[in-house]
Amino acid sequence: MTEQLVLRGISKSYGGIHAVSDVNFTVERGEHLAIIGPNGAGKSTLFGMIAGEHVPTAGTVTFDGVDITNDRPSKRALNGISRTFQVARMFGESCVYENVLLAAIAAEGRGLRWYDKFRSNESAAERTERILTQTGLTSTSTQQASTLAQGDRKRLEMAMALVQQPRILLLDEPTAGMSYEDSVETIALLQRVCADDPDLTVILTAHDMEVIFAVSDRVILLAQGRTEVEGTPDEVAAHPRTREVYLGTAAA
Amino acid sequence: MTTTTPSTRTVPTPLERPRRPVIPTVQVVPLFIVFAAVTPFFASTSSLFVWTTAAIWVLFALATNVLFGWSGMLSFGQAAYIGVGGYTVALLQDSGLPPILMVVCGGVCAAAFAAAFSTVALRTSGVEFAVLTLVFSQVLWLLTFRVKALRGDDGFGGLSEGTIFGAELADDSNRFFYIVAMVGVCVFILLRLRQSTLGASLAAVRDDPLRAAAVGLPVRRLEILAFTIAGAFTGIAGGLLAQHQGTISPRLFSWLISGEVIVACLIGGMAWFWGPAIGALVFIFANDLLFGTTSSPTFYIGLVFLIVVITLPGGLSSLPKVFRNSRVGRQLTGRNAGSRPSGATVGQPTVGQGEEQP
Repeated sequence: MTEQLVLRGISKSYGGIHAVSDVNFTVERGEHLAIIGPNGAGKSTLFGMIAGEHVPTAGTVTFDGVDITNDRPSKRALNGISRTFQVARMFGESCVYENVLLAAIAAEGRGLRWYDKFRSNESAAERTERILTQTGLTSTSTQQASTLAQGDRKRLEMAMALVQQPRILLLDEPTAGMSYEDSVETIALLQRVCADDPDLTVILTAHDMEVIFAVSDRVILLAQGRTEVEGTPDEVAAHPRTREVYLGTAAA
Repeated sequence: MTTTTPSTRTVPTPLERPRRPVIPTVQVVPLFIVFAAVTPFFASTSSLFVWTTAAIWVLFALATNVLFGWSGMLSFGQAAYIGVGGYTVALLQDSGLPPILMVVCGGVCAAAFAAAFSTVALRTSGVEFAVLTLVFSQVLWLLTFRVKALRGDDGFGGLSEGTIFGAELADDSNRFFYIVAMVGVCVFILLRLRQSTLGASLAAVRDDPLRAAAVGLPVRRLEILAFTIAGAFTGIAGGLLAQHQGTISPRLFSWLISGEVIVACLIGGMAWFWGPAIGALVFIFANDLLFGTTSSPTFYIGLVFLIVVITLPGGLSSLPKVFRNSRVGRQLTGRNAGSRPSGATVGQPTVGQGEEQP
């Protein structure tokens, strides 16, 4: 396996508050990494720094040997880092199909084409339809995105990320706010996606242990912006520090 | 009564199809050509003048909507680009260029101004940006007094001179044909842009800039592009306006014009491509009508504006949708038009309805 994403000494402070301090880890190609931690542990901030939304106060992010610490989110997306958000974000005025189609076209770097008719891009349309089927959104494909139910919103985001054929898939709480059935389906979808493409790297944050055990090979436990425990899901779950972080020192 | 389910019922999904802007190019083009060809034979000289002005305002409003409706950007200073277009034509008056090229130069100059301004000003966003647009147009207005070549209040005259394919522009119907044709071409280009991938990307930036960036769209560059496109077509409208009126003065840069175009856009509605065009026509003809009959047209325009904004927040072009929704709403609730006077519209649960049942 080869090193794909390397975080070295990543820190982020807002004024005097250290959201993330000195986090180091390496993700190898095809690896499935889960970042867990209690609320306010710095998961989303860390995520934002991988996706390019936040610039770290210190440290570097390297992707395939190239320093991307200061790259904008759009540039990272074009380089193959696609993401979902904790609270699903989408183009609300467009229908589901158009949301996914635009993501597909944007990934090809054709988002600024003023001479292309939007809905006549054949290769992107084909991929869009395939992904819509794969994610179970075919029946809602003409629905306006802002009217979707919570589970479908998450699914749409996943479709928008997958259609870009990313090399790294960043999933921020992929099952948050979902019904039990929806989250089971999402986990199954993730497992299928990972099985289909062994080279796809997945980094996810989650509260839901089921997702973590089903999808990830490695878990990093974050607390107060620091790496506390690192290991396989079983190791991290069994580690005394984990219980301490989640339940307080008295429980350990 | 414990259950309130009937009153909070949500609308079933099949109704909430995406608002697909139907842009019937095929139907509009021949209608437009017939209209343009016939109007000069029926219209009197003065009403032909108003028709020509209205055509220019249609272009101005549609170009402004590239910002408001397409990409969700605010601008209170679009008069700046009308002015740049107009003054470019005025300064090129003695250059010997054909009138069409002068207008194109006006568009190019306005686009350059818009690109330069937005590149700097887009470090801010939202209302701050909108105020900067206003400031910029006021600065240009001031420059017309401070720069000698721009002649201050004296302005320029004789701009309607010149010929196109041998036809004198000073002639009212020739000028009408020329301007309507130019507007038609520009509107067609705008329509194609709206339907292009770029148009979809602009809508994406409007809906959610963070999401747009996350799928790989360069948000800042798209915003600058939107501003430049709006500036270019507004500049063309300004150039045409100068040739149409024959004279220009610093009033072209007035914030009043920036405001009026927003009023036109709001009256017509910004969600539909043609909405601002409808608004511009209503605005210009209402203005013309009121100028002849009352001493304070602005008051009545303001009144119309208020009524439209309060009763139809989506503008006049949302009328069919409002009508359709209220009809569907009646079908849904199992009531026909006459049985109940309350306007139970889709998406607005009629509170209290559940409690009325025995």
